[in-house]
Amino acid sequence: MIDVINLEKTFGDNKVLNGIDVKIEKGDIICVIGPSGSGKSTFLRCLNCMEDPTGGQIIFNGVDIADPKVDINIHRRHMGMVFQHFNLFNNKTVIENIMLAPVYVKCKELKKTKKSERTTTKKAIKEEARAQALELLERIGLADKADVYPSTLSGGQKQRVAIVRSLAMNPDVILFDEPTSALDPEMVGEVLDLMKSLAKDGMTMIIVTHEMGFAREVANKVIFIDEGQILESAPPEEFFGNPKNPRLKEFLSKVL
Amino acid sequence: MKKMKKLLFLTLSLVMMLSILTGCGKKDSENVTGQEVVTAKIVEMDLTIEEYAFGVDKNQPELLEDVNSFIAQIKANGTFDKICNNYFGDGTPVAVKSAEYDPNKDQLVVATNAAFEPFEYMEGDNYYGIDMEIAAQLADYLGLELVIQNMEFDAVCLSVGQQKCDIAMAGLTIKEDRKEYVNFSDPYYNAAQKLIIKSNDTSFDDCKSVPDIEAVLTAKGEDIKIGVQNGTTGQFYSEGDESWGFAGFPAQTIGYKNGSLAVQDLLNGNIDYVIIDSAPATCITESINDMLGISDGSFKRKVEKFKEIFIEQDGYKRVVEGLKNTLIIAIIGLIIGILIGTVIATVRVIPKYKVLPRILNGICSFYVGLFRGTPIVVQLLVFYYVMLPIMNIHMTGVNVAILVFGLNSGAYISEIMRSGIQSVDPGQMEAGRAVGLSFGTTMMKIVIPQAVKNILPTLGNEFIALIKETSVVSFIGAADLYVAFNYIGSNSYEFMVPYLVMAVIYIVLVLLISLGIKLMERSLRKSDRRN
Repeated sequence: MIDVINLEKTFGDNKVLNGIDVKIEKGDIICVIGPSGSGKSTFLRCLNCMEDPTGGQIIFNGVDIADPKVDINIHRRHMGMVFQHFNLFNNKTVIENIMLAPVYVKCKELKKTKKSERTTTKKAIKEEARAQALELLERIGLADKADVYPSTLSGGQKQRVAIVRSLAMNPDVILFDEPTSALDPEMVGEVLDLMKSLAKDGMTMIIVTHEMGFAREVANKVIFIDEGQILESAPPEEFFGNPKNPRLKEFLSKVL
Repeated sequence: MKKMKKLLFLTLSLVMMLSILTGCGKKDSENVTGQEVVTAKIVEMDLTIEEYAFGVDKNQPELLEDVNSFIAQIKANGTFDKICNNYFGDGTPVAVKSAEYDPNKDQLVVATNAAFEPFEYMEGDNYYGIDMEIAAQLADYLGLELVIQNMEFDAVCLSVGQQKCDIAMAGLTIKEDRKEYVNFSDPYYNAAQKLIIKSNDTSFDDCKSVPDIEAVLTAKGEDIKIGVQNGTTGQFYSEGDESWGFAGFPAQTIGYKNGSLAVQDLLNGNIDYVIIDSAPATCITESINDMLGISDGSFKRKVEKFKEIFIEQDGYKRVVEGLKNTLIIAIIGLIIGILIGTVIATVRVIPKYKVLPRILNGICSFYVGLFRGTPIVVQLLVFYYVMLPIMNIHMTGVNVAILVFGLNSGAYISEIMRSGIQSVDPGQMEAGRAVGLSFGTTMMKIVIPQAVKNILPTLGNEFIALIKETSVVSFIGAADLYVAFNYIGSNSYEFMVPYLVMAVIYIVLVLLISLGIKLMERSLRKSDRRN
């Protein structure tokens, strides 16, 4: 589904990604680990062009989205992203956060179709999106918080809302950028549980994380990045049980 | 607690206003009981006299006779006073039209320089002024069709001398060198300058003649100040002017917008003497002395005078109109400013990898630099008197003011807005982009609403500043609050009450605006509230 070919990214003189090749299939759950400053977050942010790659290709559903001529906004709608700091829209209520993008995108499509060929209305789109958002909120047990502003939620609640916000677009893949790093330890569990349930549903996920236990349990492939390169890529049993790369061995001995 | 504070503030400001008012009253009544009231008085001697007359073609002696008898007639039957009243009193100037020049018709061809209000000036295609109205009646009297030829002042006498015109009517002072070209009629108007002093000033009591007065003024040296009306003969007389033959005085000359402000300042003790035209000098001193001399405290009189003009002479209509213009300029200006400011701020925060954003950014920087680097008055003047005529566009003063204030505040608001946008967590933009919204959509729906909330207090300040800054629009002839109260002031020769009332109106406006901003802030802050 996503084919990353020789991906490079430099900030000024600083080469952060130095030729990365990965193949991601539908249903893959890939955990990316590595020391801080290794380029793993940059790699993830390059996948949906939050950072424009300076070299290489990212073939997503058959299109090279690293090409600046491509309208990236369309492809991002099929690629959810969850941030370390949640980044819920502060000026919108919880349910508005979830509805905003689907309603906006569908209304835009509606405007493009001719009046006679329209099968739906703005109002119907909104109601549909609201029903879907409520369903998603019920799934995470936050239906009662639908009409409050994000500032009243706890960190764990915010991150779960952020995850269902990306789900609302029915993406093909969700990118997680250290989703539990900014959380109090007691809230990490609820977020990981939600991610596990997504995995069970067959969602394709790419997760930059420091949660080794989670990676071992949920991932079907673990990638170790250091100095902008993939040093090891293996199924979790092999990755944790029999690491080959000396740098990875050193890293694992420190964190486990 | 908060309400208490607000009440306290309001009462305090009211007490302050009242104490200013009663303080004035007290001082005056003390004057009455204690020392003698200082009034203004006129030294009854014409410092300079200019006689205006018409210059008639030397080859038409019968025309000169007719003109002289006509002058005698209009002076005798009150027509001349009536015409003067149209310009100096409460009459309305009458438009005078000129016919096409045609040598085959019986016409009276008048040479003038229509840039000498109130004697001759133009509005649109019509001529106005004392000379012009006399010219119209003279043509009637002679049974001729009136043709007015407008030319440079230097050419007026010459064109009559060359028989291109029959008569020069141009506020012409009788001078020897001009007699070479024209025959002067009998003088019809005397323009004189008079000296106004404080009533307790005895320096001129022994003066018997104008040279005596001039000697006393000269002897006073450089330490005294003489008030004059800008651009009048009095100014040339006081400062000295070769072409008029005035030596001037060593004293400092202070120019005022009008004579009554100068006399008021004389009584306030800021200047020592006033030299102005004799006709207004009489009116002004009488009116001002009238208010000072009354025993029950002059402040009451001033308030009554203000009320009289405000209510009976429709002064309130001008105030309402002025208030309307002030608000229109400030509000529409602010709206234009917010639109321009938001666009500029957005352009300035666009990532600048590509060429187009860089060019746009350059243009915006230039715009902001231009409007922040020049005073608003300069912008108004340049727009109204330079740009619009060059582009041949006609706009009213109010519209120009709206436009210029909008453009000006746009530059300031862009910087406010930019700081507001930059105060919003960049994660908000990232999250918007990550769900597939464009830069512009995320900006509009997510970032700018949060930015506006952050900058609302500063934006309110900008609006308050805008309301107050509009008081300069009289420079381009827009009638705002200041113009309205200035009108009341100059009609009553009394500026204290109108200016105080104007200050109170501005304070009330600003208080109301701050209240409105507070309410808006509260409603926008609901997304911050924790419940």
